[in-house]
Amino acid sequence: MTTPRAVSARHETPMYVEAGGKRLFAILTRPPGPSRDLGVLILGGGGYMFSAQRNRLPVRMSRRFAAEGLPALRFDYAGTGDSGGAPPPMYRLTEPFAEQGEAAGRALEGAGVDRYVLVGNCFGARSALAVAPRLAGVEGVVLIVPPVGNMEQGQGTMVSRLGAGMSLRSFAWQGVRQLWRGVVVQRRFRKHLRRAIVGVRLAFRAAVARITKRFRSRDSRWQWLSRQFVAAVDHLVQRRVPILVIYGETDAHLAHFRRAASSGPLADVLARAGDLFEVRTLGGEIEGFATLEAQEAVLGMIHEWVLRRAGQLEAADGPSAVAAASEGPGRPA
Amino acid sequence: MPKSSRESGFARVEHARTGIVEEAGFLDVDGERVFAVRHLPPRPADAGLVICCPVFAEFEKNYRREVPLARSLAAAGIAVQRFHYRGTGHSDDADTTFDTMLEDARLAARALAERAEVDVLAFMGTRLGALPAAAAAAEFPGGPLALWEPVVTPEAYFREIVRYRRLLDVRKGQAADVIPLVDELADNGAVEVVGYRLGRPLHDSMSGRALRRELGAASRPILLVQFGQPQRPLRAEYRALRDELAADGFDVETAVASLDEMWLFAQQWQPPERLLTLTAEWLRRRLLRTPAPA
Repeated sequence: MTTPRAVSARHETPMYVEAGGKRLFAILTRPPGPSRDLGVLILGGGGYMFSAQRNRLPVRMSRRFAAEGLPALRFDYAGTGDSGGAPPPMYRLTEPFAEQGEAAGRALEGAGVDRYVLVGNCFGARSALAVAPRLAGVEGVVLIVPPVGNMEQGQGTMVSRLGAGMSLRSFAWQGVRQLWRGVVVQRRFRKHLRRAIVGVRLAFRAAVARITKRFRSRDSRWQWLSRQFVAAVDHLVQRRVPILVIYGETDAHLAHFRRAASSGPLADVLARAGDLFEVRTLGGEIEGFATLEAQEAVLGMIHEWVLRRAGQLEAADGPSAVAAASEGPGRPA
Repeated sequence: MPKSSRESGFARVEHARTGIVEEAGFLDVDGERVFAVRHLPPRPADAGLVICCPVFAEFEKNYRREVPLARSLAAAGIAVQRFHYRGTGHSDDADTTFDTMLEDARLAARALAERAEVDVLAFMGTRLGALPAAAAAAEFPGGPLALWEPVVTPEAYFREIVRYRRLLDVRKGQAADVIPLVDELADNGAVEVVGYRLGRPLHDSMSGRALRRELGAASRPILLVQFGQPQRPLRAEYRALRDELAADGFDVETAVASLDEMWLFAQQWQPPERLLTLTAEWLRRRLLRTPAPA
């Protein structure tokens, strides 16, 4: 490919997509020049956010891929953003949005993109795994901070971070120090401090629940592991579809993954996967993309991996196919 | 099921149950594009509303409050235009400033007036979006203005952001020396808050502004909704604004909606029915001058 060309909203097409009685809003980003023979379907995290997500990460991702010749599609889950329908009362990892993801994949195919990589974040990663068996065009899967177990929404995120990353004593001590320094000067801050204390109490309860559960089912191989997760990875391995998994070193989900990957059903699948299953970690926490540094690092990592995958596919297709893709009329038009 | 079609670059969908039409696409301004969604009534619109959203995390968390409000108003005969400021959401990359926010609001108003063929326009603004909403409304004499938890002075808003960032640092165990926001912006051109980039252009362009000044001198009906515990009285800054506006001849109504404030710890994503109902009823009353349906 030549030097990437700037991509803006001028290269984007809003659309509505039907998904099992739900109307989804989606945006397709097309390359300014000829398309390569690979696209990207982005499945955002849960948590009721619309498809631009935090700090427009999927928007930036779409335009960055399109600048390299890869069309990309992002969409709002039902009940979020500009889609129709009602959001679920809670995002459950046991109920990923396979149907919605499939509909979005079909929309990408309808735009002439037959081969694509699924990029899913957290709940979206689990949805990507659920979608993959339904779509023949999947040529790669990127899972950002995928939960390997079926914890409830919020577990492994703020509440557990409060509990895991900081002891009650240290949190309280730091709070006292801040109070002493005179940061707490307004009523509104006090309100948030009260909420933080509520969060600590929740973390404490969650920790107690975890300990109790551990003693109840110590021998369960599936205690920290979702059968759906293992089955989906196994399916992709059998299809020889490469998978990139990204965690932050301090993400709670990484500890769960490492535990599950060390022995048991997931370890067996990963042993068969070999180089197809790649795990990369970044310093700090990337779940929630709460820092610009984490956002850029993940963007760069995905970008590099997907472009490499595009190159692999083009090489497998042979020189004539590469020439046709890069010199012929852009597809999709 | 809704019927979908696309025309003139806008994706279009019709809701079978309500008959309202939604059109999503991009508006051009100075060679850049602003993402916009129109909600059109099933019959010729009686009036229009332009919604100026908040920014940063508040933008995302407020999104699904604005969409159902727009849909319910469209079903009642009020065309609604929503949009993303340049530099935010699906719009083009740009340095967001007060001026670009206002320009985008004006663009949205023009687009709605042309498409829905309405002369009467109201505006609505949430949090920082209240300032461009007020400034844009000032160009439409007498048009109603609804404000959700408005930022009264940007300085207080930015102080609050910095305070939240400090709180997050404490939670991470990274409490560091407090550097004044202005100094940090001067040094780095931007500061980072919970994964968002607050750029100096936005900060500087907002500095010195105040909601009251942006409203102008011409009186208009105003709805001011405070988010928080419903039993709590109106906060001092809102009481002062209400009293000042009333003294200047504005027709101000206030309400408190049971809703978490939105920045860091907000877990309440679903809009409280009361917030949508009271806002829609107020707008209907002010724009259509007909009683709300029972």
